[in-house]
Amino acid sequence: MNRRQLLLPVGIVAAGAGVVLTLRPGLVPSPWLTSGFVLGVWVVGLGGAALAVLARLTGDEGESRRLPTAGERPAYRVPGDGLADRTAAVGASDRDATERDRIRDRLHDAAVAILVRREGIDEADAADRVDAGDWTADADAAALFAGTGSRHDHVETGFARRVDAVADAVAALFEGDTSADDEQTDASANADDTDASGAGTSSPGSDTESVSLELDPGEELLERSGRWRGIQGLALAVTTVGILVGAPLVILSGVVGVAFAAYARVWEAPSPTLAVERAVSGTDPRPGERVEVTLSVRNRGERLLPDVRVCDDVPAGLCVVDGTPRHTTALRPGKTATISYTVEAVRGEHTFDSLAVVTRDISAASRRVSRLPTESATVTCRPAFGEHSVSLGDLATLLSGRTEVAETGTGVSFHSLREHRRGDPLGSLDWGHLAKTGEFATRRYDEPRTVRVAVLVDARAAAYVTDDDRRRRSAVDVCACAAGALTAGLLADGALVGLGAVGPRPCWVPAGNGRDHRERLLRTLTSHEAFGWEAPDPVTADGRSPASEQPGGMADPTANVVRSAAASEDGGVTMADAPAGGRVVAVSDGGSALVDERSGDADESASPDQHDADPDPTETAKRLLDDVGTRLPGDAQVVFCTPLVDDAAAAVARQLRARGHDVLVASPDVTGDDTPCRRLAGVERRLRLDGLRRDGVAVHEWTPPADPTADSGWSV
Amino acid sequence: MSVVVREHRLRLSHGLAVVAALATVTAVRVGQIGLVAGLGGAALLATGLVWRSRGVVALAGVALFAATVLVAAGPGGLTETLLGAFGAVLAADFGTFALGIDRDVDPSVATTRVEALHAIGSLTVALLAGGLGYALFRSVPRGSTLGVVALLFAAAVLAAVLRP
Repeated sequence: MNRRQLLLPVGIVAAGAGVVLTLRPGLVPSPWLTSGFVLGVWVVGLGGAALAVLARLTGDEGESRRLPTAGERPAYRVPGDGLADRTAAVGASDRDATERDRIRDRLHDAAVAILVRREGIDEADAADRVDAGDWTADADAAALFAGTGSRHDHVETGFARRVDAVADAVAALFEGDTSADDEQTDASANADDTDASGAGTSSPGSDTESVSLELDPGEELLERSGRWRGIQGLALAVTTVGILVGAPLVILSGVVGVAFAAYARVWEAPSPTLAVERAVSGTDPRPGERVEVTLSVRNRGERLLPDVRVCDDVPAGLCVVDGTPRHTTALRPGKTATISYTVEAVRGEHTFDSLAVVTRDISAASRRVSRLPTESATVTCRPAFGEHSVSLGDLATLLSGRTEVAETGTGVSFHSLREHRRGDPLGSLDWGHLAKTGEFATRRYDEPRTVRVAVLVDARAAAYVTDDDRRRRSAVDVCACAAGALTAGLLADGALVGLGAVGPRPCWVPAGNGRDHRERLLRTLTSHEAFGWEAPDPVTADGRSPASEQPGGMADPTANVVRSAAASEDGGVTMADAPAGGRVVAVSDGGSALVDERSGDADESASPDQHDADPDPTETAKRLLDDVGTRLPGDAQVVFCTPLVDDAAAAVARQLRARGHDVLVASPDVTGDDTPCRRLAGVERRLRLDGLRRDGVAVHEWTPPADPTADSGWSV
Repeated sequence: MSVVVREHRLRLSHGLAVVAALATVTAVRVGQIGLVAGLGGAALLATGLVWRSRGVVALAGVALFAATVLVAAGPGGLTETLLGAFGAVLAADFGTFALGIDRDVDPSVATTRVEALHAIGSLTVALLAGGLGYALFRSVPRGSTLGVVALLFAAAVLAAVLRP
């Protein structure tokens, strides 16, 4: 028997006794019994009321179940913010010593690297100088590393201040170094421009509070809103006070609480029976164009919906620039409410297919939260990638479209002469040689081999960063646009171009050429989820991305593979169905390859600033390349588009080079400079670039435009 | 990309909350302490609405109700008590409802119909419960304190038991 079953007879008996005692006040002769009962209720009532009022004042109305917000681009982080957060969160106690040492080690590495670069000394000497504290004039910065050898396993105060001081000192050293460098590259100038433009964006976060609804389409949840919480306690308290002071009117006022407590229990939020129609004014806008979305919601049920709140699920990336996707109204049966709002198109295939609905009863005491599936409407916005290929200039020259090989064949470039043999075509005779020597000779020509170029885009969660926390254009979008421009340019130059994503959402399009292949590549860059506007889910403990998990532990074998026609007209790319236990991927030679399902990769730290808590970057890079790395043709040149905001990205480039590929890193600068940690992140990125150059990896960096709707204007 | 700046919009529920609070203040004006507490509650309500703080609005409701209790324990009559008590609860109800609307809907959206329905529901409950309380108070014989306590205790227990 549970508590409720025990209390129910108590309540019934009390109610009966109350009625009897109200009608016959003198039925209980003992004043002690009466006083004791009244006193007991008084104590319980006041105590309960106090707790109820306290809960009412400190709690809020189910923040997690609010009507979600929509129409705002995801808020990406700026490199360095993660370190700032970690520093702010770490305590001064012994318990947080490990985390403090991780942060300290990262700063120590940066300081040492700067000294090595600036002073030309070896790492050991640089480390000694940093430990000794004579690497900077800032006492706070120097103090952070004092006694590094013995670790800081004691209480440490002022840690955050010292971290900021070190970050500033490292940035100052780096800037002094680069300003004194006569061979400063144009790219660094571009980076400086970026830093300057981002200087005014000091307030992180969004202007509005973002709320999401964690329900899948078709799911529904009924819950109490909690807005009448405490009303029973109030009634109880008032009545007991009335009894205490002997004021019948005070007791009477308790009826208010009882009435509204009952009112809150009578109704239940109605289940929404809505017919939803959605219309979009354009399905293939250019970036920056505005698309009007009109949503009609009709109550097709038999009951009045006294309070229905809807929010259209605006796909990630689209930004509402006029109107609102959220609406509240009361709907009688058969009535329709219409919402209209305008979004600004950005790269991507954006599908509207659901609607968040919250209904409430008339007292607003309960609410039913649901996500209604609707007929889908898709808006596909594809930037004019090809229009930008010209501006890639220098980058394109690093990847010549054709390369000469030893074989002779059907090309047009002269290779050599050999003696004429029976059957040689007459047209291959070298008449000049015949005239000069009187001997027949046959011309041989070079056999041209078209180079294969694989364009890889860093699409890890760590790459979803931005240099401007207001404009919210992620580095993945920047890299995807760059990859599109490169792809268009290289294809026009005759190269065989493939495309892949480095991240937990596998994407691979084998190398090919031709109009159809170009279309396929650009469509992939436009609409594949690997390059979407939302960062991939964090991986679970076993390294697998939850989004890719299916019942039975096997990811959807086809979900993340770019399907193509069975045999394209020009590329010979084929796709076969996947047998159980593996995924068939398209391969460039017309066959198919069976590969194991890959895990979600362990690279997916939520923030690039957690890289020093991750495993060895090289191991991470190897895992990242488990999938896409095996698909790269052995002779392929690789262009790796990455913001290079963590060591794992640099390790990927090195791994690709170690596997025999010529690697070019194309890196947009998405670092900010308005806080010490952001400046430090910018310095670390530049150090990675330098490291890659030293290792023989070609690097090209540029400053991306902040506006994702820009259809032009980005340049190298 | 435009930056969305959320603005206030004066809604029906804001006005009704203020009216309810003023009704309570009017009811409690017969007692000096009650009037002070009532004015304080009304000020809190206005502050909560401006700050968009549900906690402050709820606290304002408690203050207004406390003012009513003080008056009911002193110079107040039956009408003042019922008017003050229901005014206090309705002020908090309308106020928190307005804040909920503000939070869920952009200022450009008209929500008068939803708010009016909610207000009608709450006012109906208040009128019915007030009438019932008035009738009970007039009809029940004096000296039945223990019976009232027992009824209240029963109501509390049953409400707890029957809670879903």
